[in-house]
Amino acid sequence: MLRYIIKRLLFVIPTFLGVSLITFALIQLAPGSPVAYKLRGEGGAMRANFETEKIIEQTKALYGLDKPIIVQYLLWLRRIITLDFGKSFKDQRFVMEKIWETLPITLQFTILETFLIYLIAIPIGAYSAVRSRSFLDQLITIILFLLYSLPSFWVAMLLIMFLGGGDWWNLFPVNGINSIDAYAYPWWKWLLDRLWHIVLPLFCMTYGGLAGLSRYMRTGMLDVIKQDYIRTARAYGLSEKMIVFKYAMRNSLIPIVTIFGGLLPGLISGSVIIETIFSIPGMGRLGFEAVLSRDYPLIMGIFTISTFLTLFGLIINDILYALVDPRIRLE
Amino acid sequence: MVWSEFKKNKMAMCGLVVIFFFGFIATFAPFIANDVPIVMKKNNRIYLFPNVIKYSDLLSENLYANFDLWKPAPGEWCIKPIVPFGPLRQNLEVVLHPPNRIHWLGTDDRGRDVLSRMIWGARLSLSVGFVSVGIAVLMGIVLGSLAGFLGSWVDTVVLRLIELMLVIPTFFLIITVMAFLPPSVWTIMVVIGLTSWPGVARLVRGEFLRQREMEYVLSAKVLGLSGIRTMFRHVLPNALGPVYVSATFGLAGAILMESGLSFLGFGAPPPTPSWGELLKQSQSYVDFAWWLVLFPGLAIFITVTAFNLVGEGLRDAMDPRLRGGR
Repeated sequence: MLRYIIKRLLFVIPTFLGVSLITFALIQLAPGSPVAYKLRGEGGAMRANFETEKIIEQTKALYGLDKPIIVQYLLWLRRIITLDFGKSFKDQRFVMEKIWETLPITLQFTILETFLIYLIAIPIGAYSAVRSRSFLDQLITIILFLLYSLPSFWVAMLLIMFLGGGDWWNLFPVNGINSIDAYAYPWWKWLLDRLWHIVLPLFCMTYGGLAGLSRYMRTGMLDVIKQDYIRTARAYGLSEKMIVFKYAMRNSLIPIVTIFGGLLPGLISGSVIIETIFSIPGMGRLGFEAVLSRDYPLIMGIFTISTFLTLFGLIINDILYALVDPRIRLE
Repeated sequence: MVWSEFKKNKMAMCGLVVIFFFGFIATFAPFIANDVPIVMKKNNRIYLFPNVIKYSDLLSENLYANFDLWKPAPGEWCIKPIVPFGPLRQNLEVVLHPPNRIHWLGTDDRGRDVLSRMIWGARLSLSVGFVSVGIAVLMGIVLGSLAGFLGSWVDTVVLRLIELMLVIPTFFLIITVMAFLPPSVWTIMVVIGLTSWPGVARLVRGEFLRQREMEYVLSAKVLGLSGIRTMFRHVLPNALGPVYVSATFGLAGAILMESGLSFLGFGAPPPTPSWGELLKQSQSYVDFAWWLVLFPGLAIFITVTAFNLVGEGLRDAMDPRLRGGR
């Protein structure tokens, strides 16, 4: 097991180099870099006002753009390894500091989201498979299919329009994750306030994955139910409850575990739109604002950190997969 | 064989009909929603299709910029499209009107007709979808078949590349690139295409590995066919089945991605009509402008659902395990 983990960690190195190359290429696209000059002409099309000149100078100094390209890359690699992304252009605060502030909020959403998805999807999928082709199964299948295709930002806008004030109901707040005076609340009121604030965004983040996972669970369970050992269990006269919960469910959970890692890449990407819509001060919105204000150090930092997190998630995933399925040999 | 199976699936056929409907609207947008007439008589001359052909004498009268104000004088006539508003035509007298008899789906914050913009938006969504999926499929097939065919270090490199693409936050990468590069529809297509090939590559690679062990490959070898010929003339066509399925789902994904980008303001440059851009506008008027939220979102939802339905239908039709089972 330990050997496997070490081997898996060694595999991270090429991926890590790839990530550094991609971010390095991104720096080359930023104003002040040689590529940007080529794209825009010497200070030409781009408005070369004082502000941009300042940014160009800062970028040059930060990434050592006046040095040969190999040196530039090695400098960048050192920055990535030491997690030193410099200071944000916008407010001159350290990039890592800004990320550490927002990461817990996004993580909180991700954890709740994953928990809810698994909690709801597994019973729905299993029920659908066991009662396959019944009326309820077909209804569930259609609803899940529609949910799966619903664009989350549209749902968010609809929810804000109908439930978040305006001309219709005003049931939920649509800005931020706490009321302004929440710091003065007793803890239980604070918690309720937080819950009240995150219901809508959490719903928007959850339903898509929920639909996907339920469908996956249904297929997996259907496959298992067809197997010989389930028929044998029936022939032995075991109760249906026993067959479903003790024998079928366990094996159908194996493929579900692999999806776990697949949920993580959405950590930042998936939260950009929803966090922006609901003004949630998480990493997704931080990234969106960084891109809008072309805050290169911050963009690079967020990009690299979220890649690391995903990579980490995938490794955990591999290990989990091996743990639940003894047929998978760890070499 | 696949088609006859596919036809039996009513939902998938519905999806296909919807796609053809949107495709028709997108293709003939200038004939459906435009303030430039389809046929018109002016200056004792009949102009055919001024909406697609720019006539020099109409241009010299500066008519193209002012077709909304032009009324046929006695002796002149014109036939206008069914939605007689151009997608870019602003009319500040009808800003943010709810749906009414003139503007069936209302107007946006510059007095542009929402229905007209949605019809032209279908053009953008579908073309972005098809071109970017085209790029992704091409890349996926080339890299996947090279990996599956050559094996050894090529396979390793492709696998590492796939893992890399899985790990990086794609959406964030796309908005960063879109913010850095000059905005254009082509940039969107290329960027979405370049980030969505790994699924296809993995499928093709897997199929190649599977098919390589099959007997027909052995018999091709016995017949003395070259390895490259066998792989690309015989194995590749067999490996394409799952690619079609994945491409159809990819179309749904690309359309969703495009509208998401436009929604955040990283889509096609401003006056270009797009479904996501209409939704973006609605953010500022969400307290009352329900038509700006409802209709564009519905269009995205229906299109994405249609492609997903067709994808499912294709997958079921191609899967021999499901065939005849019903």
